[in-house]
Amino acid sequence: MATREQRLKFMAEALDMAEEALQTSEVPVGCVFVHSGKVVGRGRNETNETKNGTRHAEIVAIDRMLASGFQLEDFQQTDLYVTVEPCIMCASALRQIKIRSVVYGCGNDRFGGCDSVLNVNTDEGLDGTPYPAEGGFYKDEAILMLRKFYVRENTNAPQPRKKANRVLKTGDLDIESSS
Amino acid sequence: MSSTSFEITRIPTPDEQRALTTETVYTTTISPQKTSQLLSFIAKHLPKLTGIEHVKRVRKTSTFLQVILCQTSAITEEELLRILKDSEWTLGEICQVPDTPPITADQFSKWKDVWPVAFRPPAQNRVEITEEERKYIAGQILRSEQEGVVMCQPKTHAVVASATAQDHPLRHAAMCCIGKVADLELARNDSLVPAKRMHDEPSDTAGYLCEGLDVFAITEPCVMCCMALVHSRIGRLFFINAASGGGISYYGMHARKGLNHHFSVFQCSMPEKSDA
Ligand SMILES: [Zn+2]
Ligand SMILES: [Zn+2]
Repeated sequence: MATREQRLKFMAEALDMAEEALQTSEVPVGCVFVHSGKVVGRGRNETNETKNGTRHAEIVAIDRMLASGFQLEDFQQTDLYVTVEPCIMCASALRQIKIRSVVYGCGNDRFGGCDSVLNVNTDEGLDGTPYPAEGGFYKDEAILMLRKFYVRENTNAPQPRKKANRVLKTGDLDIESSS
Repeated sequence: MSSTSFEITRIPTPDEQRALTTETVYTTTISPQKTSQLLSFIAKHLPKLTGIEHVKRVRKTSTFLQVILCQTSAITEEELLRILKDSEWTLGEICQVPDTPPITADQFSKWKDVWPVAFRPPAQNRVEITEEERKYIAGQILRSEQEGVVMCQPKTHAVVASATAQDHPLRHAAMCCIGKVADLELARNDSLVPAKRMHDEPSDTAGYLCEGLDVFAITEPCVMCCMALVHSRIGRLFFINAASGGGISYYGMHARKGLNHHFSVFQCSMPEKSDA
């Protein structure tokens, strides 16, 4: 079991991936997969670039890892560090690859599959293996990253969709289709 | 010719399947002549009913009327008695009332036995599949048997994409089909002059390329795939075989409170070639 200090170290790497997403105008969510104390996979949102609403950080990373020879069964000894609570889709994907555990930054009120909306990680009778998930690691940093994105997007958008004039404010976190 | 054996059944939403739950209200019993007097007293002195707008204020018995004073969650019995003390009204029974509105005829028949309620079925309760649509749906399900998950434009019935599952733990047919729709759009964009590319547009519309599409599958999609369909904002999902760990059967993900997009789901029987 990683210490809190080790977890924060890996979460800082996940935040670097989120920062990379932000720089390329993607919703800033990033993740790293850790096996035997080493980062073995990285991902960040690519939904805009690919026009594919399912290319979340976790799915992108898993795809790359498998493509570069990472063995499926090794996910059973692998932990995920992701800046935002996995959405229901990713939470199910992580179950299906039998991830060992998930550590996340901030919660995902709209789509969260590891507590916020559903408990895909622990509910019984679903495909794959249940896993523990714990949030709150660099939570404020993860939220700040998302806020930066939405403020920037609003400045660029000719016609803001729905929630007009999002401002830097807690509780206004909108991580639509993005994590 | 109308097809006879091909069945299309809409899968109820979690709300439509909900069992009766109740909350409690203070009531009083009066003679009918006193009604307007009591109602104006209630309006002036007692907390408004909140969240139970479907509940009728008055229940008739053979000789009397039983009237809701207010919810027990709004004030304590002690407070209520203090308010009633200087009036001509007395506290009667504490009664159960349904805490959500009935949205199906079945719920209504059960709910109203507990306390009178209004019944206004929501619009999506009355989805009708036309004869022409039945043929289209049968045809696309037959296609799905050959080609995997199929996505179509509901108005033109044009096939947008189809995909089978790949040898990969996450590349289920629905995920692959969403990916194909995206790739088609990318290819289309590449053929446009740069200024017209969607890349240059503000970003949060990406991933909505499947918005409103009909999706056909033989087997109910898993939780991952159902959430991918929610993210992609599809219109309707048709499948034949339900799955116990499927996103619809397990979580009712097509119409779950808390998710920002809902879609309709229909379970079908296996069509014959003559149905299409
Ligand atoms: Zn996700
Ligand atoms: Zn699936």
